[in-house]
Amino acid sequence: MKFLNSISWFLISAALFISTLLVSSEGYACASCGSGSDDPLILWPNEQLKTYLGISSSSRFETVDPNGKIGRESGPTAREAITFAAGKALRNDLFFTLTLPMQQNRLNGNSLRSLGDPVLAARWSWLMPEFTEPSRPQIQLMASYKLAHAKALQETKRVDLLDTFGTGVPELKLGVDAFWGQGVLKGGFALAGLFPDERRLGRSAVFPGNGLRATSTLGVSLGADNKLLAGVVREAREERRNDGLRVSQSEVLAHSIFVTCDWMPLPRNMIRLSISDKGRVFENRNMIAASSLSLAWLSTWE
Amino acid sequence: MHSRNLILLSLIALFSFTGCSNKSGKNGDHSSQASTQASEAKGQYFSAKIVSWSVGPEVSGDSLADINNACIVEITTPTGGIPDSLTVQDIFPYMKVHGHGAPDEQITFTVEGNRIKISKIAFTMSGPWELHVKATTNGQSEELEIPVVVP
Repeated sequence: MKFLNSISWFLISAALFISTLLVSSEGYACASCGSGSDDPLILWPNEQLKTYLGISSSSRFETVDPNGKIGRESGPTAREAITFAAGKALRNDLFFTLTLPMQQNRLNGNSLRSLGDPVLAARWSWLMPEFTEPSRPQIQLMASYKLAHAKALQETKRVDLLDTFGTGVPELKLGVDAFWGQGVLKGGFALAGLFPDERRLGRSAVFPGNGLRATSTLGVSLGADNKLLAGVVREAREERRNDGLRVSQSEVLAHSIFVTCDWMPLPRNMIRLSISDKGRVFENRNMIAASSLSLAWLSTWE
Repeated sequence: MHSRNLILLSLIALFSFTGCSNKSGKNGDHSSQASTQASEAKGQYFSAKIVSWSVGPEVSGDSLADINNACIVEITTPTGGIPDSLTVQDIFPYMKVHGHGAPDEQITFTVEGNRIKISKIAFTMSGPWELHVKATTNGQSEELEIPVVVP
């Protein structure tokens, strides 16, 4: 049944994508960045101040063991989040963003709320898109740092795990993001290295292992300011370490698929609807599978 | 310009589809403190073996009343004999491959001879766990990890 659910998600996404291809016939020269799944908020070259306000819901949590076998887990059955992000450009080719998620875990009618892990990020455009060169991509170098503010699974005393909101480990992400966004067909790749800190959590000093996160995106314009994107995210981590010792068979491999629709009902205001499914397509190991739906409002102030 | 794009694309594609898919066969430095077999751990001063489960192992529920995993662990000397003395300091579950444990304040245990009756063990998810037993036998203390696979 779970396999069928994953197939259903994929087929719906593919159907949406193909139907969009059939109805689109015009090309629009725009930077069209800002829809990758790596960061919720990305500024276009002509934007100075931009905000993101999103609500999301995640559910269908399942654990995936070292052999890729899906199993059960206890704890929250649903997590909602209100995410606020603000981005400020220092130059046309350089901006910073701060992302603050407020999360709520739910289980059997009970719920708890907490601030999640804030993320401070920066992007520098190594190559800017140009109208005169439609094939020229936008290439950005990206860096972000996730703070370990929220309580982690290793720190909880509650048997219902309702107070668990974060990984407990701060993490640096460094990478490159290339996006071809000036035509009817759009697409891009992002690749980032993940470098967590070691942190003592509960009974052990935990190091989740360095990793690589690759995002492949393909999409299409839906008129001048709207677009539909779909993609795959692959995240892999080396063996984790507990108290400085490597743990065999602890490598993480996680694949997720996503579909995002951007709609601009008013100038400088965009509505973004996204669905994603993690851990139920391709090969996965040592991760938590989940399905998510999010709706966001992005507004450009300057 | 085109060549630069091509190089970048190739690099990204290479990393995307081959990079870091590391199911290594390394078994060298893992953090097990003793050599282990299924439901059994052998240490320097004693061995610990789960001889029976009265409940579980299974994924626990979400309240204290729903945590029912219970088992009996048998402690023997390295040569297979019964230790002259046995005291238990701590028992808790841990999942090394995910780097976390589970709430353990509700765990209770009693020592009868060379056997430890343990109840209210929480396993919060399916997968490979370790049941840690920290004990002193014949005046020597040690902590062993007994493998437990939770379906």
